[in-house]
Amino acid sequence: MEKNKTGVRVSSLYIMSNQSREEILHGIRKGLSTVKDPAQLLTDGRDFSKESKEVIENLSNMQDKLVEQFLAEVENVNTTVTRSQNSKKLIQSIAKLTKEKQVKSFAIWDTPYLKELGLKEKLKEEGLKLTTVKNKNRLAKADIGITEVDYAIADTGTLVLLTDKEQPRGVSLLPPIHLAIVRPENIVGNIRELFILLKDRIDTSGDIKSCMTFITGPSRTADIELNLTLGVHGPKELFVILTNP
Amino acid sequence: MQKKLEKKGIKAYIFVTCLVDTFFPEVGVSMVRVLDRLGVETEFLEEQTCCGQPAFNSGYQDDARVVAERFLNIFEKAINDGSGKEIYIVCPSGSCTSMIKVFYKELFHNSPSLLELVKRVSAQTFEFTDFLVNVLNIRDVGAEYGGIVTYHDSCHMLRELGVNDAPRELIRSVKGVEFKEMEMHDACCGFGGTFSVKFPEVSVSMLDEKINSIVKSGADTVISADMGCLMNIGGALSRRNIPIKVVHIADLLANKGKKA
Amino acid sequence: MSFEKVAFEKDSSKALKNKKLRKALVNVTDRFRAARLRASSQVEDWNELRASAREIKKGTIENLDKYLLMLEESVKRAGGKVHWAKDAAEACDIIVGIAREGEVSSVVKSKSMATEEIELNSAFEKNGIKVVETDLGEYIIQLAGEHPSHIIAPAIHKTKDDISELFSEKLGIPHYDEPEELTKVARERLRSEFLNAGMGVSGANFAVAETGTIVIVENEGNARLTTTVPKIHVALVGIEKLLPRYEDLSLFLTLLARSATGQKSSTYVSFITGPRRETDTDGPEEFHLVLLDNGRSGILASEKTRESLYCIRCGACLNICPVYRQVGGHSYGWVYSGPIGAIINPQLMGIDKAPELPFASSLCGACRGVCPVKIDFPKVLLDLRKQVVDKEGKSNRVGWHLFEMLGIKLWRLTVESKSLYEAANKIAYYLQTPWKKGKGNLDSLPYPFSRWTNERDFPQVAKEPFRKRWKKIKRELG
Repeated sequence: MEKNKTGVRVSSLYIMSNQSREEILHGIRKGLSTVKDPAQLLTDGRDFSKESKEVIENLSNMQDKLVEQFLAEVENVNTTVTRSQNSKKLIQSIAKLTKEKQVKSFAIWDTPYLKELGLKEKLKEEGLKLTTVKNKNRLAKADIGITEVDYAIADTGTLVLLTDKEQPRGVSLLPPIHLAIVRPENIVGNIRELFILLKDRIDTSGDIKSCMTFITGPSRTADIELNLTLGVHGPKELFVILTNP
Repeated sequence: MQKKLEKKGIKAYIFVTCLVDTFFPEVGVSMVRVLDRLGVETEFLEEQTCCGQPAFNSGYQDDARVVAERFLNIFEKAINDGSGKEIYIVCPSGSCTSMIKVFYKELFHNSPSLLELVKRVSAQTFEFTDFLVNVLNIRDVGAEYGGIVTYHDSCHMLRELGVNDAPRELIRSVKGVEFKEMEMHDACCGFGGTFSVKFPEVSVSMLDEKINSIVKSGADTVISADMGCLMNIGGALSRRNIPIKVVHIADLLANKGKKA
Repeated sequence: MSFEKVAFEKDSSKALKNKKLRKALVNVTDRFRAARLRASSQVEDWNELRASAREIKKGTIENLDKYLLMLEESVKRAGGKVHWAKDAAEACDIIVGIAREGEVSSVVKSKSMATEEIELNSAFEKNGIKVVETDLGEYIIQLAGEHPSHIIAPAIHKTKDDISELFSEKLGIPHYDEPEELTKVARERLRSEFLNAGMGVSGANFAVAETGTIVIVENEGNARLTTTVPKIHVALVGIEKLLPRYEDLSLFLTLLARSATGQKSSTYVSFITGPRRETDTDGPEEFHLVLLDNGRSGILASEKTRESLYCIRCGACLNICPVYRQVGGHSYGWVYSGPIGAIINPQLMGIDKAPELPFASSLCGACRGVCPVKIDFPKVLLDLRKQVVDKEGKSNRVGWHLFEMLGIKLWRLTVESKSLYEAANKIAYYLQTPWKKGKGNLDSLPYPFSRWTNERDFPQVAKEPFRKRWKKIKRELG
């Protein structure tokens, strides 16, 4: 039992919680005792490895169609999307964007792909200051957060970001602008396909990330008289650059 | 057209409902006239009074059950009348029909001995328009009415019985009628049985919206298959001196040549 | 703010006189209803999805104890802590206890109806801990000291002028006209709260037993901030929020946003499994899942109303309900409103606190038609009405209830006998004479029938009931 300044109080809380645990479980079991024909426990029995292979195969046959669908959907949710034919053009697009938006500082994911692009160095060369991702207050002051995506969902225009050592949560959240680089091979058709791939990944690696985030457009609210307003707490603007395959 | 079903040996026992019996007997008469016109034999068991819904909806299920059991015993005689005909129980109310077809099995949930009877009686019970269109397969009953007509979907009929095409098909087959669908034709009129007197202000507020829809539709006549709703709607129209006619679909279908 | 007995008739009467509120209600329900219809028609097998979702929820609730244990195990495996709270007071004690242990002086909260149920904010305040609502709608009503009036859009009863005045008064800023300006103020004020808070409290839309993942659906980003920035994350989750498998999320997320706001997907969905990993760069160091019972196991024990627990809190039922449309959320007297409020408020508060609610419905069933998990609201309401009558019958034999009970007994006596029924008919025919006027309708009747005739005419009892006409008709038709 952890001890600290509030000592006894804390341990009594845990005891209380354990008692309640038993009471709650007991209450549930008793309440369910009258159920005639209770439903079976839903366990898997699905072969996600096999299903995953099928999904990937389907996706590779439909890539062009999916890209078109993704682009259309993502524009529907107030996201500005551009396509870049190669990494040189990609860097140019980003540099152009930072100039347009008068960006002075940036935060970025440290993934192999982004490292390969040399984005960090190229943007520093443009005169932009690199913000550390380790300090939340400083990260909040960055003008733009740049990430790639783990997946993208075509039929809803959704970006899927996993959390990892090189993929901190705050980069797509704290700065007022979020720029996400999407590669065509990230795109899946729909959420059902996504979950097949995700589950296969979890089963295979035996581990699940602390956080996964779906992002569909910039932050918004309609709480004031149902008027749509963008940029409440999350990023005000979302930019997507789609690379070529 | 006359008596086309006479040889088919169909017999309809009238479940008139206490509301129609007491306040709107003409609706029951119209229903009988239409069935007769089609060659369906009609019969009426005098012992019948009420199906029990008012008590059931008010939370008095034990009282409702007693009354419902009485109903079942009376109508058991109908379905076992030994006439050798195809027997149906026909009712001019979506609401009361729902009580028999949907809620009786809830009410007798714990009485397995009566559940069999409930099943048999329910299976033969039909709301009037449902009976005409989906059992007799008839849409044109030889009616005539020169008016602009709109239709209010009563809630139980629409959502418990799933009947919304049948009345419209019947209306459209009436000679001379012009049919106009109103906005929010499937919105509740605010009746809800005792709800209308338990929460009258809310009920009337819902009714206001329904009246507005009806007026906005441009119709001079509003039709429905439930007198509960029509009593509510009609009560407001007459209080406000709005000259829109309120007509039960049975009356519309019995009508031959009357102008709006 | 505290909750007392629900006074639906009184509060709805007040609401009906509020023109501003009524305009807002028609506006919000019309918009959401149309959006939901559009979004759901885009999905080919929408009704099959609803049926599947109901089956999964049914299976989950019928094995809830097993899934809860699975969830506990998974969350612990991911490095989180699990607490069990049997009621509101205990949940508050646990959460305040966690804050105390972490020496937290300020808390940020994202939208969670469960936290309103337990009145968490008041518990924090009593213990000298600052708590800030970060959802814009909730922030607005927190400043105003009010309850939410809609599950999805809590401040919809306020105009932008109301909000501007409120901000001006409470935050000491100039009067702004546009929502963009007001939103900007909220963003700036709340940003520093996020960065300085020692603890973030959230709810969850779903909790997956298999993986220990909680899922939070939102549009603003405040839930992401609440669950990412502060060192401690506490998630208060009703025990009914469980789903068995990770992949069940794809079905439920497809149904949720479309049913709630008509969006294909809400802006953000967070899938959180435990605290940050050792190798993560950011994220909370502590993750606490507080499982809340607070009457849910009682609902579970009630066979006819058990499906009340299937609810995924989308608000579609509010948007289609003709009663909600007239009166709004405050008339339902507690955290939940509309059809879902009508069924769970009495069950969670105790039926004696909300005896009017099961009757505050015309049983039209429109809610059932839009519910993504196909809850049979009329069926549940009918059972709750029976429960009210059974309970009030035993305790409260005075006043309206006694009158009604006598009325029912009299009715029953009458309809059990053909001769009494026919006699009653004749008596009623003559009794109505003083109120009969030329028109053929009765335009006034004594109490309680005046509750009808105040605004509507009532039909006359016919001179000849159908049964008398029958004999004549039969003869006429030969």
